[in-house]
Amino acid sequence: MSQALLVMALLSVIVGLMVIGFIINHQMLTREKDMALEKMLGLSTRSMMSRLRFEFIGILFIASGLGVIGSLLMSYLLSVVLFDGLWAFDPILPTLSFVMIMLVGVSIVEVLGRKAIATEAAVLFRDAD
Amino acid sequence: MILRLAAREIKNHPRFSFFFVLSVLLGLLGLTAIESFKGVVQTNLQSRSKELLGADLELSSRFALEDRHVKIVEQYFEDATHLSSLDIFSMTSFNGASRLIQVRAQENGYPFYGKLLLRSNTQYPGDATPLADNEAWIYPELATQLNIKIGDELPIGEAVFKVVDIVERDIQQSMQTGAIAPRVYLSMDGVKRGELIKFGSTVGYKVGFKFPEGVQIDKDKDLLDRIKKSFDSTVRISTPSSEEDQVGRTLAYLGDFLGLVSLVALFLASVGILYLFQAHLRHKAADFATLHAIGMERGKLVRFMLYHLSLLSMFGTVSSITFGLILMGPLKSLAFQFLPIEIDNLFSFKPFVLVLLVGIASPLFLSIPLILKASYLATRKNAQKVPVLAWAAWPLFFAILSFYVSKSFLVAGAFLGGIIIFLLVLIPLLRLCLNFISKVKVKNINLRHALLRSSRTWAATLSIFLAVFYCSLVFNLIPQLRTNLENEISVANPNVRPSIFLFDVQDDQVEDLKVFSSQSNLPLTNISPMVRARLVSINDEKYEIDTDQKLTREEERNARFRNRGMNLSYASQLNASEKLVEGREFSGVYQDESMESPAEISIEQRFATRLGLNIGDILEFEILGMPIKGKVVNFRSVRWTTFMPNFFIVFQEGILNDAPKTFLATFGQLSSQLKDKLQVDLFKKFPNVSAVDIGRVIERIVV
Repeated sequence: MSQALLVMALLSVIVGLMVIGFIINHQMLTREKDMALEKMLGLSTRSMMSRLRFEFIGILFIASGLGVIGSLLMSYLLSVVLFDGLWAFDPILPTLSFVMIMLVGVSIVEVLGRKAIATEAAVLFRDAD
Repeated sequence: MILRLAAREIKNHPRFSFFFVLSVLLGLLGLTAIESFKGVVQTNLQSRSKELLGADLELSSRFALEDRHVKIVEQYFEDATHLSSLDIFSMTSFNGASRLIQVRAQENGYPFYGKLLLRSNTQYPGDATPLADNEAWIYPELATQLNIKIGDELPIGEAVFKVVDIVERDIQQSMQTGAIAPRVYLSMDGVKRGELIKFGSTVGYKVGFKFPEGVQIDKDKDLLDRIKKSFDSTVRISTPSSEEDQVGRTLAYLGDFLGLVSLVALFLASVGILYLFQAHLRHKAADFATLHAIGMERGKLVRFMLYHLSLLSMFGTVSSITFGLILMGPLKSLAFQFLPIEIDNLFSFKPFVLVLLVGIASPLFLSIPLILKASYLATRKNAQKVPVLAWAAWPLFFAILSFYVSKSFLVAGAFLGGIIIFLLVLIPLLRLCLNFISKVKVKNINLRHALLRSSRTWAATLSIFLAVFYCSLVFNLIPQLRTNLENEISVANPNVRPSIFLFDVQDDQVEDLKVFSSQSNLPLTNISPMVRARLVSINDEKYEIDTDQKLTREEERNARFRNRGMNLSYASQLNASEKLVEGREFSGVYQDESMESPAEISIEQRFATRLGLNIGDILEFEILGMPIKGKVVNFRSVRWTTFMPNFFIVFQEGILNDAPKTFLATFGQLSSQLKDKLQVDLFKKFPNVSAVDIGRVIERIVV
């Protein structure tokens, strides 16, 4: 039972991470022209990457942190209802999930960010998505 | 023409199309796998329901079934043939270890449908030689656990039985007790020879009926209803379809819950789809305005967008169904642990209709307000508001889907409530934070730029934030709940938790058991009397639920809960696992010799809530036909996971002391060697007493 649950939870996590990837990717696409323009204006790749990291890694950090806190809160409430308030806090579990989500999220930002920054300035004169 | 235009749109925007289809595919994958798996299991159970029951109609009871019971059925079906069987818990010992077993005995030729497949490649009923009174067939788990081989002799009850074969496949294997008490087949004469049935033994008596060809009792609800009404509530009537429900129930609960977890994936994917489509429409705004300018009406624009979206959803859904079918293999092996039958590749149409409906309707409901908004923008009717109903359609659809998947208002409500509460808290809070950070002056230009970008593209920021938030929540919540469960049943106060739980201890064995305990220097604790009874009325109102109508999971549970017999006990005070919640303690020993005045009773608080009881309520029970009244004087909480003998209803001392009863008891903390030795010694001295190794039960629950 618990193994089946873990498999389903894993599916949700994979979907969640893919969705995060799609959204970040789409964000990068909509910013292609802005980035090309910034490059033409002389902004260094390092600065552009640093902006992306501040933005996306900041969101990832706060959201996954709050998600972990929310899950602890929910598990506490459920333990009050189901197990007469006996709640076991295991610090390894939330830390592990937080680190894993951050690692995957940062990898997505790094890969997609570098790809978007590498876009040629010619994109400014192209009329397509 | 519009359909062709929509198809071309997919080709023109391959990246968007790919992401959209992938979102639908992954969002639906869990639901597809779980629903199609549930469908296949249901189809399999339906096609083999007669084999699962073993008869066309079966009577079962905790009390011995008599000729008068059989005659009731024969009144309706004169040509019916009938055979009996019984189940009883017992102990056996071999190679210095003992185990709890479930003994099944059946008259030769029973079951009428379905067969036992034996290791000797014979079948029963069929070419297998029927069991003699000194022979047994055993389940392979028992053979493995105790290292028993064919030809070995097993002591059961007061006799020894020779193992003549091993059961390889049993369609009527018990799902609940299979791992804790493996089954042993004996003949009816063997049960008598072993003197297994004593007063208070936990015996399940069954009589199965075979009807002439063509009679299908499940189809005649009125007749079935009349037969049911001919029996009192101690006799249960099962038909092939009710047995199929019974067998499928465990898996249905698992499937319902897993289905709900799969909805988390659908919810997350919907966040992605919403964002993707919104961005796409924004990108296409100029094209739509141009199309309108050259003559395309608003209705056609809307249709174009709807066709485009439906085509993409269809691709995603069909891909998801294909991948879901691939996942059926691992799910089938999971089902094998729960089901007594092998799952054949029978096709079930219903789940695919559901997935197709969800796969197409969900993105549609989600996107309709966006499509309307885009069409207003293209036709320069910016001021026109999107109807509230359009925004409410998807949440409503998702709520209905949650209920349909979980089959429970409570579980679906908790699930949706959790999502909504977090949304209601997070969205305004994030908007506030984003407003605040847009005004913050920071020196680092890159950081300042990032903050401004996040606050200006707030919809995108919110989407990413919520996707990560729910992803993190689900990722951590389920393992955390598992840790709680493990902690609750395996770690909590091991000094209080017993090692061995005894049941079926006879009244005259209690003193001997105490002597055995003190001689062996083993801690015998919690000796508790147990009296079988039936709750007849609450405050003079009859207590019964009709199970024939269509019920939700909660209603099904409630009906089973109400219609079953109850175990009562009596005590002078609360035990270590109980706490007084409301009311007062017992006033002492019951004194009324006429037994007409109600005795004091203590009720477990959740049981009291389910029955809607209040302090002062009068409950009437029937113990072997004798009415006994009790007045509720307190509610108490019970920590069931201490594995101490506990009861929902406890009477004060004095009224039930002379009632026919058996006892439950426990042995406290023991090392595993002592535990094994104790079980063997117990079996030698008290062969009818059944012992459950609590460590093994815990292992079974947490794995």
